[in-house]
Amino acid sequence: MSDLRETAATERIIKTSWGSVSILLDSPWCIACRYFDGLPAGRDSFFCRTALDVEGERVPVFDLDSLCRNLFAVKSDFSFPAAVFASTSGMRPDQLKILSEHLKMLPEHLSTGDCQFSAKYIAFRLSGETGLKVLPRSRRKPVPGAVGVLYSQTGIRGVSFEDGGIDWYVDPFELLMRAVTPDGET
Amino acid sequence: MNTKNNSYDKRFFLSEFFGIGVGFPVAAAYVLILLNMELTKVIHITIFSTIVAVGVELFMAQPTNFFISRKVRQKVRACEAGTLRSSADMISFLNDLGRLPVLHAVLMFFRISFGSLITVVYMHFSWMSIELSTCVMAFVLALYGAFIGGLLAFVSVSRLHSDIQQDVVSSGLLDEDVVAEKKFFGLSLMTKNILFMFVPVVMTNLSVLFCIYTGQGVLDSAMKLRITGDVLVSVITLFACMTFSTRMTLKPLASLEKSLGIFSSGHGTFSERLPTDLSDDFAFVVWLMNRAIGSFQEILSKLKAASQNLNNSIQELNVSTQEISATSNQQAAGVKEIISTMEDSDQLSKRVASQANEVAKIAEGTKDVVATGFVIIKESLEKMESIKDANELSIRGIRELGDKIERIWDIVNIINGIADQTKIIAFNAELEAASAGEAGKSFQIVATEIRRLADSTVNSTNEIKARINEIQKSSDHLILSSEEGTSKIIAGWELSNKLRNLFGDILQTSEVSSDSARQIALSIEQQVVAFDQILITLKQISSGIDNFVTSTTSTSRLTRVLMDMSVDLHQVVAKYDEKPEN
Amino acid sequence: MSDEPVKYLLFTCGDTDYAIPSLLVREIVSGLPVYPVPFVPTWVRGLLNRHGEPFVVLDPEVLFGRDPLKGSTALLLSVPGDQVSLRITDVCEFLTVPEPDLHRISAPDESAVFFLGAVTSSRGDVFVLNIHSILERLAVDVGSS
Repeated sequence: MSDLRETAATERIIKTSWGSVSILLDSPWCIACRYFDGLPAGRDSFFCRTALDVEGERVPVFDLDSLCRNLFAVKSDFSFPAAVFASTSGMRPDQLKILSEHLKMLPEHLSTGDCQFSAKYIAFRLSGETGLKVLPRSRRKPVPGAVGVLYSQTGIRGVSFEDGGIDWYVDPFELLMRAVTPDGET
Repeated sequence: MNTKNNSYDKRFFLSEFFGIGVGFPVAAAYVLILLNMELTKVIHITIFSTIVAVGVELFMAQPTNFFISRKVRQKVRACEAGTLRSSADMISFLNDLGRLPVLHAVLMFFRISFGSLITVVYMHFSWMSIELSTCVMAFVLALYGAFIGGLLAFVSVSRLHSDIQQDVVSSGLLDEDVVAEKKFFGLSLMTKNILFMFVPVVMTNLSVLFCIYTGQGVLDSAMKLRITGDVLVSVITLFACMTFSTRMTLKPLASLEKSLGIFSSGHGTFSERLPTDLSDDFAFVVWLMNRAIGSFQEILSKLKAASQNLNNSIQELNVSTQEISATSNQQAAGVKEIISTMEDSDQLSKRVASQANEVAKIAEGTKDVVATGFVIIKESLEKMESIKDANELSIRGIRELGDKIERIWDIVNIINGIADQTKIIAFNAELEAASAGEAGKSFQIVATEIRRLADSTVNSTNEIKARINEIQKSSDHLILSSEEGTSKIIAGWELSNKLRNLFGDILQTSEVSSDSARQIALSIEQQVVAFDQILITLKQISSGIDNFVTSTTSTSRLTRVLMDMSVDLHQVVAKYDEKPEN
Repeated sequence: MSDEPVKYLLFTCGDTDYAIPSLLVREIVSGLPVYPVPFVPTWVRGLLNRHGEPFVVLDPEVLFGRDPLKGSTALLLSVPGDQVSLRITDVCEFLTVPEPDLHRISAPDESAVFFLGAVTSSRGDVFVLNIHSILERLAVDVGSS
């Protein structure tokens, strides 16, 4: 079981919810949230719907709810034009490689002309119910037992019962990797 | 008859005195003037003759007059009484009336002559001893007075009888053929002319001659012959003139008589006019007669034409009348048939009216019954409504009870939950106590007690549940029963509602029926009244037609009478075109 | 095998009575929501939150091939290194039985591995669940999903 707990007492969490499913994103890797214009039509199963420009870089935006759909019964909402983007510098090299390979396969209309996607940044589209929370780190509870072991491999880092219900700590990078790897792509 | 018997006797009596009163003085004066006698003798003769006249009058005139006038007086009375009705009686009466003046005149002549005779006898044999020739001459002269007295007696009695004769003629009872044959019942004009003109002239002339020849005047024989010749000439010329005059008079009279004979005979021709020279009165009368004939002819021709037109018109009228009569008979028959039919219809209408009235009454009664029923239904519906409401209320109460029981269930469930929780707490406590080992032994007791409490609570809760179940079952059963009852009540209410609606419809229908029946009864009554009026009118028409038929029949009969009259008139008028029978 | 009495907690799952050593039971909870979790077998009902700690909820009825249990009563088990709970219908009683009275049972299928044996109570023979076997089974099923 990977231990994602850090020594800090609190942690900054981005909580984005789709109905009863709430996804908690570790914010330290987040750079910023950005709005983008429009959403191109695409397949529901296609994770990358659009792109935004960050510092001249074309950044792919992946649907976090689409990524989570296999985990939870997420009621997708593709209308919210905001995403949180992060640097890919924290990703492992094998993960970066997979990502790059995947970016090449993305449809051309998502890239403008010669501007190709760079793997420097990556963004995840958020829901309309998104907020930033600061929670005690103790609130993050790992899923116990064998289930927890299983989840650590899928990107689920734990749960929290902060708001009465259950919120899931999700590592979007892991989710993305599981989604874009050849045996995990849908 | 406007003759009064008493006045007739009086007048007859007076006529005697008129004759004797004038005849004797005329005789006496004629004698005494012509005879040359002394005054004393004249006076004496006058007195004597007066006495004789009175005596003759009293002792001869009255009885004879009474005798000769007896028949006439009887007939005058009979005529006044109206017993003389036949033409023969009237003819006989007229004959008697014509004869009596002559008889009276003759008797007057003889009485005056007798009286004169007695007077001349006295003159001769009395102290006056007048010569026989003078007495004879006086007697002859006296005959003229007697003649005049007779004439006067004739005139006075004729005048008396003239009114009576006019009455008899105007009575219309005289047989016209007898009258036409006899022409008159008195003396002819010639006889009257002779008596009134010739005889007096002759007698006076002869008297003068007699006096001359008896020496009463001093004349020689030649003179006597010449006077005699003059007298003869005057007599002859007098006779000729009288005859001529009479003929002149009779000729136009004959024409008049001929024309008037044609009028009176009823046939003849008026194509010729009577000749007249308008030289005297008679000629003028003839001229007037011609005018009358002309007017009559004109009238006759117009009458002929009119009678022809009348005949034609009457024939047409007769035909029309017969047609009208036939038509009116048909109409009368037709109207009678119509009346008969109308009477039947009237009877039928009256029956229908009576039945319609009964129907209207029944409909009214039905309406009242339905209205009553409707009221009852309404009341029953209201009661059912109230029962339904009450039932709904009770069901609501039962449901509320059910809800409360449900809430009790909630409470029981809460208690149950608490009991469960208590039990769980108890178990947890015991678990804690067990895990605490020895240190938890006293807590174990507490935990046990808590568990017992929890068990007891659970048991109690179970009992409560059981009771509540029972209550619920009963409530459910009650609700079910109530709902069944409610459904039945609702069904009954709906049925009553339907019944009310139905009754409402029936009431409306019965009201409409009642109104309609009333309207129908009214209409039928009006129809009956109208029928009666029509019937009355038809009967009046029938009566009118009957009257019309009667009058048409009468008209037809009158038309036939008119036709006959027209034919008669035509025949009468046509007769005047025929040649007279000669 | 010692003669020390062992206290068992008797409970029901559906119509079946089971027993479990009371020392393995940390707490009995009821009315707590269970959040479904992905990638787990059907007899893992999800996670429940007890005092801020997630507990995996296991349904023995589903494990034993029967219909899932209704209700929200669960036994929080005291398993070192794990936070797991057992969905039950209701607790019945404690039964203290000497250990030798736990008699072994045999079953024609593999289900016998999930039981330590059976004890006799006033309610009749009651199977004693083998929690460790169940957790092993969980590890196997989760690892293969």
